[in-house]
Amino acid sequence: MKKSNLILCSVIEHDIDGIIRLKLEKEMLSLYKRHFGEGASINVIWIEVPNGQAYQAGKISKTATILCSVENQLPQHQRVPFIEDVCELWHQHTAKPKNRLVVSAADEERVKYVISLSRDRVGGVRKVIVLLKMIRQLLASKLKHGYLSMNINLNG
Amino acid sequence: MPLYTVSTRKSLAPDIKQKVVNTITEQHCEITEAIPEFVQVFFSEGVPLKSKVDLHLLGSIRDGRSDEVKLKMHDAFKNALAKIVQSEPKRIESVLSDVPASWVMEGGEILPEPGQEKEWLASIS
Repeated sequence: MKKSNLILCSVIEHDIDGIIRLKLEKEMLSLYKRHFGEGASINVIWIEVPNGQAYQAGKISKTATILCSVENQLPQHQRVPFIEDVCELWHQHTAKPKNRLVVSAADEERVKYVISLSRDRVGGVRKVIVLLKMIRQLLASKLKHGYLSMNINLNG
Repeated sequence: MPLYTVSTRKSLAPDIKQKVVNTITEQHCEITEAIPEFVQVFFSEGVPLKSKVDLHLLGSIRDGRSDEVKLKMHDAFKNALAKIVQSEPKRIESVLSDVPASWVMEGGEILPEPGQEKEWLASIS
């Protein structure tokens, strides 16, 4: 059975070129297949963080944060090599230094939980409106750039 | 990691943002004894928060902190952030989510468990 894994890439707006993003998506799919079987599939969502809205150690930062969904309770001896390969892939394609990347390989149910916490920020009926706006942004980006992308800000 | 996302309805002025970042970084490190290099803060603006909330803080922190420590973090964040954004602690929503350190790689290394940061730093330097 084909299994889809969600990957959330939070990056500083304009920091990673669109062509590189598409290459990374292609290579990430190969990586998932290599680690978890030919049936694996992925959905990558790029979250654009405007410059000046990300900080690390108290200073404005350009660190990218990648959250990869993996099978629940994946053994550590499988999880670590996968994370290492994601890091390697990122550095190969972006040429960004290692200290500008945080990669998590989280259980699928944990990723869903974090997304639900994020949705719960929004009150009542507005959740539906926000969700529809996000879907519109993602589809517009897919049509325009070939990848799914949305802004961390919801006022767009 | 930790990664804190600060959500507000409107954009905060740059000096207010910096104060929010400093407060989160300092409080997190003081209470958990983590090193500031780990602390990331993102701002998300234009979020239609619940009516009784002026600022929402969602933190993904390393697993292994006691409920007592987390309660202390919630209180510290609510009190300090309320002052900065001129609100009340009860109007600051603080949510913490645990992530096992062994699931996260930063700077090319798997993160240490809470309390093992100094040994970890020594091992990679």
